[in-house]
Amino acid sequence: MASGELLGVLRRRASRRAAMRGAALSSAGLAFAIACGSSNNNKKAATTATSAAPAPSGGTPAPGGGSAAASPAAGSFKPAPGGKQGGEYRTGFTGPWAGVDPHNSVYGGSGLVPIIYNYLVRTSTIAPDIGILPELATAWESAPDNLSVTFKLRPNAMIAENKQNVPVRPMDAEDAKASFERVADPKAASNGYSWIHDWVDHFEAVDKTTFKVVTKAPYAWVLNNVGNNLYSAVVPKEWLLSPDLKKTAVGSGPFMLQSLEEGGKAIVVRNHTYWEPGLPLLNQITGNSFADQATYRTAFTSKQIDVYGATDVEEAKAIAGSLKGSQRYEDPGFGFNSFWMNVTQKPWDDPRIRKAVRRAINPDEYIQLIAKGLGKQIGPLSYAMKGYTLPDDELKKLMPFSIQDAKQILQAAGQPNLTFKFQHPTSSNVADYVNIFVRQLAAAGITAQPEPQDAGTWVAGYFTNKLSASLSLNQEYANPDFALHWFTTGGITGNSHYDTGFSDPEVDAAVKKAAGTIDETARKAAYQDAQRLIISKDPPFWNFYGSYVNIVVGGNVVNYPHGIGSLGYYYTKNISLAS
Amino acid sequence: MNREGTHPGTGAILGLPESAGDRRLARYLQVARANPLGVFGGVLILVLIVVGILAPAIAPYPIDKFAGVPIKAPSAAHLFGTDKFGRDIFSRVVHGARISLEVGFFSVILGTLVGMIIGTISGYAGGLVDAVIQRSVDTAIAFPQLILLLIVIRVLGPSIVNVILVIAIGIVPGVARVVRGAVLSEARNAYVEAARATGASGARIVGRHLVPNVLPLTIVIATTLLGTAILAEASLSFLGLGITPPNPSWGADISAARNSFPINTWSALFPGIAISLTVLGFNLLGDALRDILDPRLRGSR
Amino acid sequence: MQRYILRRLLMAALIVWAISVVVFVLLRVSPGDPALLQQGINATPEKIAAVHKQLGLDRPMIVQYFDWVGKLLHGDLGSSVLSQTSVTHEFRQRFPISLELMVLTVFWVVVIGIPLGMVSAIKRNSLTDYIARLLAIFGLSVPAFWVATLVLILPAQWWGYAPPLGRQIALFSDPAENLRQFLPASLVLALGPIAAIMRLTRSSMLEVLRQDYVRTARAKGLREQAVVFGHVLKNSLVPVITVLGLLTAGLLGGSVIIEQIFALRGIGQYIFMSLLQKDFPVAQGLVMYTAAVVVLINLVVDISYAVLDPRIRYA
Repeated sequence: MASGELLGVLRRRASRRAAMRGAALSSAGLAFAIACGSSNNNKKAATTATSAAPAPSGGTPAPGGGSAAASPAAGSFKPAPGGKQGGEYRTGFTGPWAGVDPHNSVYGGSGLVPIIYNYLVRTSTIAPDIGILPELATAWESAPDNLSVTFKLRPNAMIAENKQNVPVRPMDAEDAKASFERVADPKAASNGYSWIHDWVDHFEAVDKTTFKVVTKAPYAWVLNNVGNNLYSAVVPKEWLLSPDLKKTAVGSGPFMLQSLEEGGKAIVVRNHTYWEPGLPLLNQITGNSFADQATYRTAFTSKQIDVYGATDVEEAKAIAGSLKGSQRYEDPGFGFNSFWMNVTQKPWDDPRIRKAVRRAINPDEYIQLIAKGLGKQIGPLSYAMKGYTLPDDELKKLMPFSIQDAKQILQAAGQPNLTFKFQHPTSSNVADYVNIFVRQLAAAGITAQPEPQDAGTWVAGYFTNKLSASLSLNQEYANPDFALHWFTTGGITGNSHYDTGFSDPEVDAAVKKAAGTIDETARKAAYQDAQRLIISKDPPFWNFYGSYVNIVVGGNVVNYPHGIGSLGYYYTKNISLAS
Repeated sequence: MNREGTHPGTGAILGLPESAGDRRLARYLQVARANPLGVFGGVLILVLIVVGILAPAIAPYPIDKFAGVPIKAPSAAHLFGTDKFGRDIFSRVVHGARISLEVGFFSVILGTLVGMIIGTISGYAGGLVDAVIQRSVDTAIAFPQLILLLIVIRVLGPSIVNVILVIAIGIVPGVARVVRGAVLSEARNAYVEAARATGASGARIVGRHLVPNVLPLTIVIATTLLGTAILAEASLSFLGLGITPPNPSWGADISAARNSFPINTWSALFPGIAISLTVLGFNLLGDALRDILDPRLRGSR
Repeated sequence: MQRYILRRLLMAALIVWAISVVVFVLLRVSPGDPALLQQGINATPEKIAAVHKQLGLDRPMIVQYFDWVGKLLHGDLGSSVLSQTSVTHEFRQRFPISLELMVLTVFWVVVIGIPLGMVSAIKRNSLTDYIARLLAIFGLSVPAFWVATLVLILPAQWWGYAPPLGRQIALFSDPAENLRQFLPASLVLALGPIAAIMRLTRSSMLEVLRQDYVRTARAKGLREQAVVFGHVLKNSLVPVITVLGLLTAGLLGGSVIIEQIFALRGIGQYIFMSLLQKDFPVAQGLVMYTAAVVVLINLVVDISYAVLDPRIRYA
């Protein structure tokens, strides 16, 4: 099978750990923004605009100064050619850096890793029109039996000059093998562990420029996972053994890490030996870690940084309006906030109760009040996974808002005055949801009692499945396979942590089948069927709505990569400054 | 003016012979006139208490009702404007008064009582008991205050009760130390020696002599501590570790306002004013009480 | 005298030790597992175990405690769980910032608070005095975090102005920018202390002014007055200096809220972050440092008191 078949719509897994860690910090979200400013709502990467997403403004830039800007075709971004060399681009985010482990960072570090290291390929599920971009791999091909993918590597990706005694040589297949084998090691605790563990048979360095991934069964998401910026960086094999792997970075990417101060700033500078001529354009990128959103915002409005991830569209509009020349983007994203039920505890073992509670929820109210109108009701898969999500009208039919229904179901189930406790971490973002949630349920006669918990307690309870029900933070999955693992036996990790306890062999089979469906059209259909099946089981986990990412970029920035999610990191090398 | 040179009591005004109550009233009025700031402070506090108690009646909207257009300036419908959800700020400030007072009073009463007990035992018992308690108190005081609060609230978990406990814990050492000092100097007085000589039990001495003499000092301290406690709660809530939403806490509301843009000036302004006025009231009252109840403490007026 | 100093030294050591135990226990008792918090999902049991082993959390608490103390005494404060950087390294970077903040704050307190207090005392009960006292009591009543919020956000909203945020400008490389960064923070932080010192100076001075020798000096004429004034000043400033010392001690530990709001990468913000993230080594090390500073300064103050006033030694 030609590589073209796999090109179309391969997704990348995103990390839920991002959200979990965000949960662990009661004051900070986990947004960071090196290439992509992202918001405070614990969204990992700014995953962005796509073609048909009927977002209010379809991901086109909303200019701040009044002059109309040309709107690119929604869903694909192409940097305009040219651009001045030089300059320092300043970004910021709230939260800690927490190191730069190439396979294991989800805080600020995850914004540095994708521009310091290279990947075999780059791809984002949100930008199917862009497809798969070659990076270390110049070509790839699936075997006819679909059990392996072979990558041809470029010979001229030089490791950057460094003081860590890593030899300056071209990256090769051995590096790729060593990198993926590290991810496969459970001790590395990388998010990439699960796909490798579930599907990969072995990795092979056929020769210096040929690398092979062999799977146990046909798997549709190989390229997507291999291109995931969270856990698929290709790292020089000597560097993998260094004790400083988390503290600093040695890669072959367009930028090099010059310095990193926890709680302060990170500086990356141009890699002179990067193989693409003329790139990167910027001399330096400075990332600032702010303690909270207000300081982050003030830094942007006083022009101390060049890009800002707003908490909602109103804020973004207000800021863009007050800053002449700035650009505002409403980029679709994978993020959502969710409600989670432990089906091994009462009352959640009764699917009717689960159904009733869901019926009492009105997603529109959250969309209006929290996202200020910029959000979409979604099923188990985000609207941003085009082609994989259920159509809007079907969704509304399958998961309607009806207090009547809720009351009737509760009556029939013998619990007309249902009362339950639920836990949540104390962060202001979650509190907004809690407010509305309690009120909505009360309208159906349900008493939901919030039990706020310190983030540490909450995470621990979550990990050990001790929580009875939980209103969690934003989560994000760019890969349908990963996203649907909430509903499979063993839960999202496969090892029964963060596990709702839900187990249904039909669902397990449907999810597995979909992941193994190589043909794209059939795969999309399989995922839709899987979702219908899951919804019919009154799932123990659903989201309030799918959110968007609100970015405001200063007028001085040229070629800010918007609308393409974490693919944006790939285009960081094309960013330049107007002056 | 009657013959004694004092104002006629109400009784006299009404043509009735002057009573002890009238004279007491006259004395209070005199004290009040000599401490106008204290009276002002007391009035502030009284208003606060009334507002707090009557919060449900006074507040035009429930605290979590999204009643109006978000981020609106003060208007007739919304005296203090609306916050980012369209909730009425005035209602939230009013209900916040209730919570602040609750936290303030309970934590101070608890902390002062415990501190007084510890300080009295320490001062009166002396010897090893005193040494141990003293060292513990010194340790607690050496601990950076906010950090101590943060650590303990992390251990206990977020809830109003825990906030009260945490602040009370923060209050105990300081009170204990001061009370101990006062008890030590009281205990040296002759009448205590005399009481002991006549065979009075320790408890009796403590109860009848020491405590009543230490009480004024404690009351003065407690009054000022009320302001401190409310500030502490506001700070904790501001940092996100105190009162959790949707409970309205002044500190938490300021923090929430800080995080919206355009900054919701009203949402940030009014709770801050409320905190300032409250603490001001307690400070003024505390100052005045100190001048009245214990002249030795006076900073020379 | 020596016995007194020795006794105080011993007590100070005892207190510092007690604090170390309390901090240690409290941190481990508070909910949340640093390994979990760090790893989140996909925190495989193997990895959790590995992190526990790395942090030494798998050993009994007593062993952990003595291990930590042992390292502490050698100056090894350990490494952050989250970022792997050594605590000492971070501390060295952040200390100058908290230090500068402290110095500036104390500067304001001395330069504004003390003179105000003196004027207030001298012009007792005048209008100036009343206004000053009112201002002081306001200063004590307004929450610092509120003022800081307004000071930072309003100019940004109205005029697009903000002091440098996020990046730290070294004092010597760009003094003007550096001061621009520290000015608002130190002023806000100084608000409460200025008020307190002003009141203290005033009352202390009044106390001294009341004494007989002052009245006699007044009767005797200008030259005597000048001499006495110097005397008055010296005596009234003693309690003020004590309090200033304590203030300094407290500020050396950084100010959590102000550093957070003004994005100053100081010790206070570091402590706060580490507490939130249950970064044991950092939290423990920093709390010990802060407490040790307070105890040390208290010790110095006590000893100097004893030197100045022999009666205290026998208390």
